[in-house]
Amino acid sequence: MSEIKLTINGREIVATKGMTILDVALENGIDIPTFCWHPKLKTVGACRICLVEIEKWPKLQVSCATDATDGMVVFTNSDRVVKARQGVIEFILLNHPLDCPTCDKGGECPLQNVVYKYGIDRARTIEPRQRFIVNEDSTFDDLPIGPEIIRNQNRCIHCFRCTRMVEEVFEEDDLGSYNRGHITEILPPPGREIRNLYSGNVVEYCPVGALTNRDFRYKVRVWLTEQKKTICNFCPDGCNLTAWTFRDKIYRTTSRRNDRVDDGFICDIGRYGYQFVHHPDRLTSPMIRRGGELVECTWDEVYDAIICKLKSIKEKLGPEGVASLVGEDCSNEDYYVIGKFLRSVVGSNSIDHRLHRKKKLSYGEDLEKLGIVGTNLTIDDLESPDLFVIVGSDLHSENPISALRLLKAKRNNDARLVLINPVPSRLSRSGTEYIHKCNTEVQLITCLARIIVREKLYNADETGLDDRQIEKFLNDTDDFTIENVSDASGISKDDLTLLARQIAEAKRAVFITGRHVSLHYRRDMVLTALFNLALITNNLRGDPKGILALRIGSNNRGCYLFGMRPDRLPINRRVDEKDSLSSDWLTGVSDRKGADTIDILRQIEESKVELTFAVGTDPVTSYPDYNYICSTLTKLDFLVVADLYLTETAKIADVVLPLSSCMETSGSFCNWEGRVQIFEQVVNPISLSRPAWQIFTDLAARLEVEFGYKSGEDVFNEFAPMISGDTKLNFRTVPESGICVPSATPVNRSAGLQPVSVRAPELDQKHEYVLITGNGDHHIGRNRTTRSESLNRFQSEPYVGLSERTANELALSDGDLVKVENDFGKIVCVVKYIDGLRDDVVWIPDNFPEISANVLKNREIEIDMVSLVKV
Amino acid sequence: MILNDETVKKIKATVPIYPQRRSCILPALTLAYWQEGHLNDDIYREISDILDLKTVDVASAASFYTMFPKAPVGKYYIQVCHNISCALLGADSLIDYLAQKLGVKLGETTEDGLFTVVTVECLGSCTTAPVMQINNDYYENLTREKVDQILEDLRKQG
Ligand code: SF4
Ligand code: SF4
Ligand code: FES
Ligand code: FES
Repeated sequence: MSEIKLTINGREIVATKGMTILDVALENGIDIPTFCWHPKLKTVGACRICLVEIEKWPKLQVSCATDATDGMVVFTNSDRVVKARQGVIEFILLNHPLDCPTCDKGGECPLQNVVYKYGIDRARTIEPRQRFIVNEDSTFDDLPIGPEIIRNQNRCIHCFRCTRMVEEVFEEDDLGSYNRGHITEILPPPGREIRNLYSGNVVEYCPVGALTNRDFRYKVRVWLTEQKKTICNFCPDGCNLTAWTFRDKIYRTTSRRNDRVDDGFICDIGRYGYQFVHHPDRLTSPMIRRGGELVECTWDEVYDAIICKLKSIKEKLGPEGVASLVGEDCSNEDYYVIGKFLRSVVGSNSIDHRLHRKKKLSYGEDLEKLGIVGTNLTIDDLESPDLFVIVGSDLHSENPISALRLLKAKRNNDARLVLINPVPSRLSRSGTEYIHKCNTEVQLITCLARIIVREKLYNADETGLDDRQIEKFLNDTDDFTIENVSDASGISKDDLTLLARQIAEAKRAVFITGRHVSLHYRRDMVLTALFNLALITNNLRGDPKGILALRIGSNNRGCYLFGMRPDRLPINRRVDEKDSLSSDWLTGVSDRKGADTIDILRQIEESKVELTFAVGTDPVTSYPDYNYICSTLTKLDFLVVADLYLTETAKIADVVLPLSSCMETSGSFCNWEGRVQIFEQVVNPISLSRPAWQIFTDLAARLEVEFGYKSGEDVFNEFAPMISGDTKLNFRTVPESGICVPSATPVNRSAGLQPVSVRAPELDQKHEYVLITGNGDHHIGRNRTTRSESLNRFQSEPYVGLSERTANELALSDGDLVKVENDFGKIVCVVKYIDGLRDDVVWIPDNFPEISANVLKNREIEIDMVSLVKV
Repeated sequence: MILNDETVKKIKATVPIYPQRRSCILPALTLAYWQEGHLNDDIYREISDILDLKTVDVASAASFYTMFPKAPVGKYYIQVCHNISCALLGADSLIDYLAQKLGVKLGETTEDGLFTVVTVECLGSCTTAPVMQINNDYYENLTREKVDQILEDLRKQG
């Protein structure tokens, strides 16, 4: 890249060829106003407010669309420029209502600021301003154009940031511009609403008060608010947020642009999800069961009760009589202190966060040997591949903002998206999706690898695969012929061949798996098959590696990092490696593996565990076997539940502790990249609630062990050196980019091609439909997003998704009631047709309190099967 | 379906002509207009299905071109120019006269379904102002008398 020298306002500046004048100015702290230009959108040069004067150029030029060249002499503030800008403003204001006193953008409006600066104090026209009348009786021409977005067209200055963003960045189609000239209108397409998962961003990017959101408008003046840095923890993307508060209440959260992580966008879940914090359902006081009822009590009473039980049970059963189940949305600080308390104060290693698994999986040791557990890919790395193969994931709803990076790669380097899924997903709007018969992933992936090998589309030298290995692989997998696999998976032979060739041709492919793989009854085998495919196509070379196995649970990576597993300590060290961590509290920790979820539950049945802490988790609605979890938890002598709300699990607890949310304490989260990012305390704890780290610090103190933490920050400062290797690092000195904790093991290409096998799942043959659950529109998980009024405006009711054909066969239409049942339970709910759903699948969004799909699940059965009956 | 097989066929035939799919929108809208005499939301949806484009793009392009009527109009669609040259030569009073004579307001259709009157911007025929366009024909150097005659002739044709 060649260097150029230019002069702006008399200052000599060195820049790079290809930069626009605006880029150069901004980089050097020279202010040029802009409306239509935005760093995250393609330049259109439509508003002309960014005019500058260039020596020897007869006319003023728009700086956003003019390249800086060597020797250029630019003035950004000359009299001519100022006069021209005033002219532009006059034009913009011709029809602008100037209703600043009643406009919600006031105080943070780029237009208001520019007018203020360039001082136009009167209009030279007398004609009435164009009005888009919505209500004759009022001057508020506010028109709802979506569940959350309100439009006032009078104020629009036609910069088209909103429509360009929806089209370019989100690849959505629910906002457009209609008509032309001064009567141009911003509207969703006929008969529709703007309701895409990223819709709230248009409000943030609109430079005037033309688009506002229902959630925030007219609630508080922005200049009265305080801004706090926080991190979204609804999904593992870890977008950076600013929380806006007034008198200890959060009024909104907006993007705190971090180009490395969120690229300046957040999804609606991150934007409106915060409302769960102030929801009236929040627990206000600790509760204790007296005479069969949960009654409010003081923290002292509840702590005394816990300590008393803890001591007696420990005496009776030893420390292993105490166990803990933790949710995946707590902070790293919570995990660290819970782990420290349970392991070093109580003496038990029985702790686990993996509550959604039915059967014992390996601890991932095999995958660890292959080096495909965790990842060292960063979100940024998702911009460079030219092919994404998404397997078993609704990336759009599981990792909404990471999904946008794939679209960016598509925009910038023509990357292709291929999706191989058991149920249709929203990202198919931007790629090709193949819907396969459930549980045929291993065959499918292996078949693709076989096609590539047989068509000799792989490079033997680069992949290091010799003929003997290839021969063996072909022999070992000779069941997976294209004919067999096409029959089994329902994907045509032509499609399989096409797909295989596409993968083989890609210069750099990344294979991304998500929810369906992470909950797959043979997860390890699916990933092993992918390892083979990635190895054959030479996508495991160098760093970063080409396999990204994403998990659900916003801070699941934090769970790993802080040892929320019976065999792991902080920074994912095995319990028998504790000496490699220099921390005093680890000295007395047992180096014997504790019990995982499955064993904890079994030990409860056998009365070997009598006290369990359930922190930030609601197994009664989330464990994949409702009957079993209820009967098991009620066998406990003492169940301690700490949560935000009176969850179904809390209702059967012996004591309930009101938990503070991450907005009410300081701390950190770890996103899927392994990036630890800190957040500030935004508001005071709601009512008497306390953060988990504090609860376990208090409990330790009552057992005469002083942890001495006064804030989440103190906890962070204790573990910061451990995770960063930097003894001086603390909460105050964490860089904006966070701390990236490298993933466990490097990918092991030399392991060579791995044996794969298929094993039919254990399932109930009596029922004909496969049950698959996922996230509803604008929801993640069960407890928090459903307590956001805004998110509930997008969807608040559960449904049973069926293909139109299946529904019709049962004489059901959209909106009819259907009973979904099997030997374990039943659900009655309305039917909704889902385009592209297979005829043998029942899809249920599992977020809403009315129904809980785990009543249909049984831990002995790998694939949940159900029957449908018209009600 | 509103669009008939022939229109659909013609719309599909535009696809190979342009390097970009989106360029087919205008010919498609025109073909649909020729068939139906106006455009509407259902037509946009049909066109976007035929061309595999987003409805938002089709609807937004159609809305840009005011010369496509967006609701049913009379058999004779009268577009009177009210831009500067025509205005100087009495377009305004001519428009009033027309509306009064037909007994409709601007944008309305006569009860017999024959005439709809709307105003448009410059028709590019300033030298023969005032001008109006009825369906595909221009009528120039208008006077009240000429207008009477034109309407009468058209009525006769029915
Ligand atoms: S609504 Fe806002 S963002 Fe959209 S074009 Fe108008 S001013 Fe620009
Ligand atoms: S993508 Fe994930 S982390 Fe980002 S705002 Fe949405 S839910 Fe939050
Ligand atoms: S910002 Fe440059 S033209 Fe709009
Ligand atoms: S002004 Fe009427 S044709 Fe030009």
